Amino acid sequence: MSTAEAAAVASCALAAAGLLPVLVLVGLRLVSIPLAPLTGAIMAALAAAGCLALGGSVLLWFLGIALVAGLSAAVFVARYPGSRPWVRPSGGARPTGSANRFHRGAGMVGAAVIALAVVGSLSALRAPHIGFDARTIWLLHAVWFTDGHRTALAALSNPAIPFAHASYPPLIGGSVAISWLITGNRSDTLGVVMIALLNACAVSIAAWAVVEVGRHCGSRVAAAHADHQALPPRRGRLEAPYVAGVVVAGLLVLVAFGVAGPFATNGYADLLWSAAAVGAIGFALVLPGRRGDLWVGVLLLSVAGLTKQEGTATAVAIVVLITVRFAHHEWAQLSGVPWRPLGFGAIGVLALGAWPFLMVLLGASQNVAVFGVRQGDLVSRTHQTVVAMSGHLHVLAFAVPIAIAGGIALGQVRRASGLRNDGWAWAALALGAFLVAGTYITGPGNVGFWLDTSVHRTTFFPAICAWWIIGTWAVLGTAQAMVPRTSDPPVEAQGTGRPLDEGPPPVLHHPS
Amino acid sequence: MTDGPGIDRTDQRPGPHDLPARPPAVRLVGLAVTLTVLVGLVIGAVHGGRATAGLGSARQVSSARLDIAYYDCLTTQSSSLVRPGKVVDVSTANPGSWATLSKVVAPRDVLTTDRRIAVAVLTLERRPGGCLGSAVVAHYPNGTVRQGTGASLSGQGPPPAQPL
Repeated sequence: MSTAEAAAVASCALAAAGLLPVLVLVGLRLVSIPLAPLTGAIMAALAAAGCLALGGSVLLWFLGIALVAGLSAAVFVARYPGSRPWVRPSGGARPTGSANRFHRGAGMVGAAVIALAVVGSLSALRAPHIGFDARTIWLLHAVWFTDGHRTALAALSNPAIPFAHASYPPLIGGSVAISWLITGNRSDTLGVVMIALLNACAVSIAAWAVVEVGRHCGSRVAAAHADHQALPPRRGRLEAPYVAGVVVAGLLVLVAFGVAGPFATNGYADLLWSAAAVGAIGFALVLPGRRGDLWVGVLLLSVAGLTKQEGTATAVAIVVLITVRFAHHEWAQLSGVPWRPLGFGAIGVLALGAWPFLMVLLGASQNVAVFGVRQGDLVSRTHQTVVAMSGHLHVLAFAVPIAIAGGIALGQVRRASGLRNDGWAWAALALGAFLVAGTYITGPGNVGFWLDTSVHRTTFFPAICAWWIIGTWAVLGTAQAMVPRTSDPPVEAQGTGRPLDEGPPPVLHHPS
Repeated sequence: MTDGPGIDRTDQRPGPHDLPARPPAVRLVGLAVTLTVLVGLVIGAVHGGRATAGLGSARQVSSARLDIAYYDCLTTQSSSLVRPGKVVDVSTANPGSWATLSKVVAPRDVLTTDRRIAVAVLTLERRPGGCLGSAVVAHYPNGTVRQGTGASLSGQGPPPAQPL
């Protein structure tokens, strides 16, 4: 089987494993398409963990987990008919008229634009580069899981392979091992292509969150026009926020692949966790908080947390922020202890901590990013770290003023569109960056060498997150420009009062 | 009072009138934000597109193929010296060679730092008939020294280094 055929088969296998659970949790939505293989990759990670901890073949574990997950999803749907993927989660009727047309059109066109941008970016796979870390870490882990329990367990504590970072989370190793075992093609090239495809799925979902922002803004603009204007809006006014969301999403894909450069397609995992974390911020912290969106966030946080240690730390930080967001609102509304969000947050943190705990339990070698005696004091290491990181975060000098101006000029549009304050996204960005910086500052060895060989990759997350945040401001700015002016007479005094999570207004009648 | 955020509930329930028309100056700032961001995104996207296109160029393709051929060659030579799954030691005398050879040996053998239990110590040495001028050489405990066979790759020096 050729690499292309094997990659297609393996991707379909991962997607098939993840499809039913995704449909039940997220619904029958376009975002479910890239989310299904990522969910399959989460199952591959769980399979790798099972193989490592308890024994057995990683493929059997994967098949077992996929079967249990699929059956559970089917039983859940049978028992709770309201959870069927084709039933709208908020129970609202499907919108009709022009608003519905734009809403659906933005989804289809947005998916096509994102797919085109992704395919263009993946053209770099023509040159089948296998990066240094791909050989020394990610493909090596896949070999261990492919060879089974004894090999993987022995490798965990082997001092002769310190470069392998044996205690890194198992999502990449598990997914590549599954792709090798299913297709029979055990080439490094297939492993690299599979990692690139997972990267692409995560980037697609992060970009898709902007399409959703455009759809929310578009529906609010349509509602405002319906309520405020006696005459139909000028051509293009209703479509503009949707178009802005689609355009920004397509550009974001290209920007994200540009930020990652060769590391998007040469078998590195940094783009995967970074884009997954950005997507989780979009769906769980910025978008209004529908059940399906929250589940997208949960699955993306699982991907980030199971990919790399920086991803685990950042995912924990995002879980804490999500918990604070929901606990604050529940506390404000109910005036009691918000047990439910606190409980879910605690479960999330514990789940993300399970793999590091397992590594301690199994006696894995300490993960040493750089060797040798610690050099420099806190001040010198902090200075070196800040200088090195800022060299890759020029976008912040652009994004911070934009966010301040956006907050002043566009805050009302954001609130009216049901989107959360971008301060949540900035908080996640800052926490992720501080965690990485803190590791450099307090870690061992020569920090200069360490920064030289890694800081361009550990800054993917804050860089892509900053681009994502300002992308949403561009959509909001477009929406504001399309709001009817105060001089336009309102059609009626009372609004429909439809909550945003029921989608666009059902009918938009404009006098002809 | 409205419900807090949660399953099927947003944490904000605005009505259409919550989307007000703003004064022209504020609209202008909003428009400026949009245009500035779009220009920035387009520049970033063009940069990203160029970087991606460069990665798929014919030169990069040949470089990547040479890299794969080099490692395949070393793997074949290594396999001719030690059967897969055996315990081997890779010489650390030359850190560059150690890094290269470790990438070849680690996926198929069990690496050790204890020379007493290793069936061989593998080194990468500059020899004719090797892979781009280097050959895998095994030093066995009984004193025998053998050079890997089964593959060769003409040329001198390792392929271009991969970015870290």
